[in-house]
Amino acid sequence: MNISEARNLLKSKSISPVELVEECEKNWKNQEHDLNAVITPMFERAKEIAKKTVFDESKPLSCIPYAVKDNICIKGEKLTCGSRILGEYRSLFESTATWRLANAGAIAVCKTNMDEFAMGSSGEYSAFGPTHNPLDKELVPGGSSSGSSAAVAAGYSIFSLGSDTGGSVRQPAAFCGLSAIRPTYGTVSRYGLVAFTSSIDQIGPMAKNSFDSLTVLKAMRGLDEKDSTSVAWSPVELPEKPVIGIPKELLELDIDPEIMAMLQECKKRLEGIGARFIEVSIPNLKHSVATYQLITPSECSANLSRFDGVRYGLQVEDPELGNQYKKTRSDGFGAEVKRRILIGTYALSEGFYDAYYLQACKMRAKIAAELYSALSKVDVILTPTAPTTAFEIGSIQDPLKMHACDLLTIPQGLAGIPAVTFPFGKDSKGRPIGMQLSGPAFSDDSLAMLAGKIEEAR
Amino acid sequence: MSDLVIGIEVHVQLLSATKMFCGCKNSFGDEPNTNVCPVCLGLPGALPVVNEKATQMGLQLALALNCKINEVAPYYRKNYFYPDLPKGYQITQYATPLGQKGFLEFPFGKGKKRVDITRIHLEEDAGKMFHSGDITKSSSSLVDYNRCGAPLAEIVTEPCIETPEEAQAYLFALRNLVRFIGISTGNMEEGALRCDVNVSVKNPDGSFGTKVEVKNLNSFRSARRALEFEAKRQRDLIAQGGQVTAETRHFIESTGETAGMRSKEELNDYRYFPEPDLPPMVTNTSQIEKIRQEMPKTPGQIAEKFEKEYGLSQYDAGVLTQDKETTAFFEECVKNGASPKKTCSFLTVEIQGYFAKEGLSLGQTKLTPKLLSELVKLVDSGQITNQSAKTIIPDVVAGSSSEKVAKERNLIVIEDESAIIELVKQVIENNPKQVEQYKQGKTALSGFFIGQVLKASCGKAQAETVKRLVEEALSRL
Ligand SMILES: [Zn+2]
Repeated sequence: MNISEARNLLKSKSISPVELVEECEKNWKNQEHDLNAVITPMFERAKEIAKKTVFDESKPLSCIPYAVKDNICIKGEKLTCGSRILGEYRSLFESTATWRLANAGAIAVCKTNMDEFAMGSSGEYSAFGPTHNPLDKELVPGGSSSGSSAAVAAGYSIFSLGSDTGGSVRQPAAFCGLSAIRPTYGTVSRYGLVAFTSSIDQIGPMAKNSFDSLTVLKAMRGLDEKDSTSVAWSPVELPEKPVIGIPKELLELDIDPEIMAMLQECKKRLEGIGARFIEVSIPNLKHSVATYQLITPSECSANLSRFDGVRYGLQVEDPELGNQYKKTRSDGFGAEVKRRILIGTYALSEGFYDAYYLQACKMRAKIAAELYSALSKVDVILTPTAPTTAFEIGSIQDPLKMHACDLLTIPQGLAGIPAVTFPFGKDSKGRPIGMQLSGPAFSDDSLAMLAGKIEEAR
Repeated sequence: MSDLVIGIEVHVQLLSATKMFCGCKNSFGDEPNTNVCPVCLGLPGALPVVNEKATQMGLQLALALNCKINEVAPYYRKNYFYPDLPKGYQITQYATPLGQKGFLEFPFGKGKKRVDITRIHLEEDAGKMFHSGDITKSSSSLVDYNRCGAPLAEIVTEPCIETPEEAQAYLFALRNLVRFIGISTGNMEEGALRCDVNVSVKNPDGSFGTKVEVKNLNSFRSARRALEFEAKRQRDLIAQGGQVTAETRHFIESTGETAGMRSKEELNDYRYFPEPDLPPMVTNTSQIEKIRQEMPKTPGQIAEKFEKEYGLSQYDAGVLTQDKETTAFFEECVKNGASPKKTCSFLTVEIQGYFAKEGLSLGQTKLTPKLLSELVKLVDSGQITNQSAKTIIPDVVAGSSSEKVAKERNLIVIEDESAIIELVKQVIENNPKQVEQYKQGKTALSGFFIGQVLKASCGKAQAETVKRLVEEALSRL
């Protein structure tokens, strides 16, 4: 069920708000044992809210149940970030995004499983165990917004919120056959999103189709004085018949040939609706992952310092303060988080800063400049969303291989530009393939509309 | 030339109503952990928002310290773990601070001293730790986060201070400055002004020696004592053929000595990097001009005005601007019509002298600018003499009208010259011996006659008049 279908049912009173939540709860009860997509169910609270609510057509998301990644704060609810370190901590305040969605009528039904502190690409790096892909339980649902993609795919909710740093809403959406948007940096407030990489993180919607994603995005974005990196929305309209570029460097990268073949299909489909294609170049595309793997650990090494066991969350007591820090953080954080904190701490250290962090910042600026330059020649860049389709749980053990999953979703974050993923065909094993449209800052809506058109043409 | 090289770092707590990056009340002495919120507690998901008022105060201070303002001053994260620092990093300006290359000039001894300012930057304060008993033995500690996130300006001097006295005078002048421009209470006991000093002894060839940092200075006096102790310690060490170790030492109030800290605490790599949650502080020329115009005058500017407009000496102008109350008091008197020079001398010599003797201070007594200007005006208009005026200062300080007292005590000047001539005559008649000596050429005796006449008038005759009439009478001898 998508948003417009749900609205029709609610409007015609074929279903009541409570029944809609109950429908989601039923799906959760039936499948959660297999999927492990939820950390904190909120169905009881959701039903209470739904009971007191009548469908209001003027609100774009009236009575629509949604799932929230567990690194986004909902006042009074547990906040785990997929980690042990937060213990029983409950947020004392509401994120701007969920506050705005509540004003638009949406009802949160669960907080979803995720790779710990959003570091991961498969959902396997959660302290609460891996999430399974509802389309095939042997497969990962993608990550780090693993539970949020699984929740929508399994009908726990009609849409969900994830957070996207290196592709954490787009890649899991692609793995689960969904649509998702990584918004222009700053357009959705980060207030109440637990920071992983402050200069890149954005909350993004995940849904059955791109129109739904756009409806959600419109309801939650906008200038927020609580987030100093927040910007006002000022749309960039792309032409009806856009010029689209495919980076020639895709050929140098390790991308599944079936996905590359599907890219050609997608190109044809776009040509069918009037798009014109030219080749573009992003010479440093291949350095995206390395750049990202220095910038994000550096920022997160500071962002995660607050989890020290002093004021909230897990505390492993020791009479000596330094030991208490060590024990608490050793027990509280998982392997991937520790790995990134260590890398980031190293990259920022005296004597290494210039060689690592600063160098990465320079490369980030270079990649961004190359993207802007490409986008001055074309309206949209088309790529696959991920180099592979969903893979088997446990099949990737090498962290470097796991990092490479984000190859095609990292550059947009480094440059602060928007990107939309939409489902486009399946591979020979029947696993969904996602295609990705990237555009200049503030072209989010145009990109989503274009993606929506292709989805409709199916 | 002194062999000491001293540099000072001062943290000034800014007086903005709210904290540096959140809306919490910025106040001292409240119930612990009552002025806190998700932002200053560093709760997950909270984000900092810059307090414009605090940045303006920082700019005011930078301008008052004659600094060059950097148009773009980015915020950084300074990383370290401590329970009073909830985020695990402190937000601070770093590579490009808001102000650089300034100076502070202040009265020192008979002249002025200029201290060069390296930089001034903005940052947030940490919370406060309370240990039960000895820090090394105590089993638990408490943290109060009320102060956490309070806005601070850090001011760093060049190593251009040469004596502990100069260091103390600089701190005094800086405190005075922040009070005049109204950006801080400057109260050291509240921690609104905190200082660390760096001190070294020059090598025989004049090059700088090894620098030692001294922390935990809770008063100007502590700063001076610590520097005196360190100067002696380092000189003695060198004299005995030893070497000064580069280290951070703590001042111990009770003994007046400094002691080394555990070296472990010094091995900090703060891993500064640009704060991604905040855009850099950006200041443009028109903003700077606006602040400059709206800013209250600095003690230096006021002293300059006193010199220029009132013809006061540099020394007097300096004394009058040594604290805000005295300056305001003086200006009010002048506004009431009292002559600046007379007011200055009464205020800084007679009144201060009386206060010193009685252990009083301005504001503790019933003395008002109105009462003092009344007294000065009586002197200005010649209605009472300087001499008489001095005798009624205790009454004026106690709140009495000087005119009333002068009348009651019959101190109003003798305006009738014939009465004074009469006194002159009497004095000449009563002192034949001195008259004879005068006649024989000992003209310096005119002073004796003037003094005798003044005495005879009970201080009610104006000295100039007496002088003129005595000289006239003597010339006729
Ligand atoms: Zn606060």
